[in-house]
Amino acid sequence: MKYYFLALGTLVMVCVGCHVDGQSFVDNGQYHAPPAHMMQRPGPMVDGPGPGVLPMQAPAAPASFATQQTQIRFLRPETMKIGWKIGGGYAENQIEVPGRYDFHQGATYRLKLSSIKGREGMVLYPTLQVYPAHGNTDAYLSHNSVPLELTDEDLDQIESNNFVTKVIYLPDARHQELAVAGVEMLVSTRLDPGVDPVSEADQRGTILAVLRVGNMDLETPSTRPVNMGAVRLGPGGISQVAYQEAATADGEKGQHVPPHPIAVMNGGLPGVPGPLLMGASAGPGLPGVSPVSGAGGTPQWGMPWSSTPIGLQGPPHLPLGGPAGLQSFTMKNNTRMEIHRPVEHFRVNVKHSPGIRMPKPVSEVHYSETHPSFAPGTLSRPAWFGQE
Amino acid sequence: MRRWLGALAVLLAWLPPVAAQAPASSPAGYQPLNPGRAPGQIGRWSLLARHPELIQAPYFQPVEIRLLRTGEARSGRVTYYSGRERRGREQKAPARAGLQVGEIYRLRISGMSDFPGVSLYPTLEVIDRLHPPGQRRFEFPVPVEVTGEDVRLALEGHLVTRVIYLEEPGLSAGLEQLTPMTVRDLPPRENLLTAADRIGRPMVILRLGSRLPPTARQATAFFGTGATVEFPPAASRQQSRVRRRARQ
Repeated sequence: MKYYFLALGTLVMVCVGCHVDGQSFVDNGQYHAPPAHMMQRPGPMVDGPGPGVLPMQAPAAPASFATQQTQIRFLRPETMKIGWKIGGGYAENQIEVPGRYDFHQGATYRLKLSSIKGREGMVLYPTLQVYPAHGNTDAYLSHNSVPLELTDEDLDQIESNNFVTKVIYLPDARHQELAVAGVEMLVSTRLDPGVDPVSEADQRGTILAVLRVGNMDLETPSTRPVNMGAVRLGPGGISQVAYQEAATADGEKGQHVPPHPIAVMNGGLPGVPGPLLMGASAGPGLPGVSPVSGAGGTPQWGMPWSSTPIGLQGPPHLPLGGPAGLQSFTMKNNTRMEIHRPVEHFRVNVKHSPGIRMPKPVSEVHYSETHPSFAPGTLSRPAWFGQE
Repeated sequence: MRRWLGALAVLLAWLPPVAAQAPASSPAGYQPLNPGRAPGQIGRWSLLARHPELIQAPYFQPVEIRLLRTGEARSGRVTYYSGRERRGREQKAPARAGLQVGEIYRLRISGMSDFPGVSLYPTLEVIDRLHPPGQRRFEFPVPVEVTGEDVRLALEGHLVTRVIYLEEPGLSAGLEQLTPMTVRDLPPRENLLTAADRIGRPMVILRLGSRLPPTARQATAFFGTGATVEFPPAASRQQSRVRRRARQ
């Protein structure tokens, strides 16, 4: 009977090994680091570098070639003139196709396309959204320009009142066919109806730029004065002198002005991750609102923004010396409310599989050196030292 | 007896199925570094992890840029950008220079007779060093070849990445060093650094594209990190010429 159980136990051990729930009874020399997201952040709800990405021996330099500009290469139609929005007006004829320009990343620009060959009088005002560099695209953008073109088919679609979206993206390595990396383009008019080219490109790779073109004229008589900062009183009325003259420039006269973004993508402030930024963008071309009170346009602490229903600003917490005019303001809320008390004890049971197992820290080092020994009178000197 | 059998049945039920036992592990493991990603990162990590002594005492690893099948022999020119001002120094190809280990440099390749008017601005990232005799290190540069096919692909908008590695002696076939060098084309889903590391010691990464320097803004940043370049002394060049003639 004893042998029977011994044989059965051996059989069980051979079949299932010495593992229970992925863990071994005996030390097999394997270690399991915590998951990557735990290594990258110091703790739950806290952003920033964690112990897994701290520098090893010296502060690691930032990615030295991480470019902040994307070079867009306009290929077709040839001889087309490209301008862009600067403040209230447009800088015209800044580039002639074929040509290239370095746009700051993480921003959207309003372009003005004119002198299109074979389309007399056609002026387009597309938007060009330049995406921020990503780990996948950093090497490509540091070494390559991003090609952009409008084909005859695109222009036909635009003329027939269609909206054309062109997405240029760098396909993921698993979707690349050639041995060398190259960009691909998705055009909304060549996709099935209802397919969003931006989300489609996002699935196939990393987006570099998006061009959206329609046939809307942004410089009609009704839109121009508003854009120029002037006030028109009634149809055909008097235009007041604008406080700020609309900025214009013409590249053919040697006037070159960099484009002003019309919107920025939330890329975060230096040292502050994007997800932690509060508030909306401070304006076109400007970074997000600084989370530091009293700095970068964020109001100081203690200055209320909310106004009372009687038209007065709420009582300031800091009267700064003067007596407050409003002595009392009472508002009673009669709404029936059923708000439960917050949960006092909450328990979450977490389990990683396989569990975390790190090597034991080194607590002792044995170090020994063996030195050559010489008898008296056998001192060795290097040849260049000279002989006694 | 029945009691023992019952206990055994409970024990067997408690043990998990065979398929769920062994912890999953990939033989290749996770590779955080990839030449297709952030340029400069591999050099920086290599400097910190493998050559921390070179942080205080930099080593300038000689490299030689060779232009192959780009037109008439010795028609191509190579410009190295060096120092805080990114001052360029143009040389005829093949062009030798000592580049600091752990740094990334921008170069200019121009004057190729098969590509008139074309200038390309590749980068070189130096991730390791050789150990030649001290005074003769410029006689043993790491060869970096740029072929006409590479130039054509770059002009078409592709990014060409080459990882130049030193053969592992145990895996080497012992053949004579050829010009052009033996090149293995790998699919983009493969990590070039891992592949090179498997059969040797990666030394230099070349990335070649068609981007031109910005016309006005941030032009300095485009031309590199400001690391210096060491050029071979004239005597060393003469010596190598004499040796080449002697070999012929």
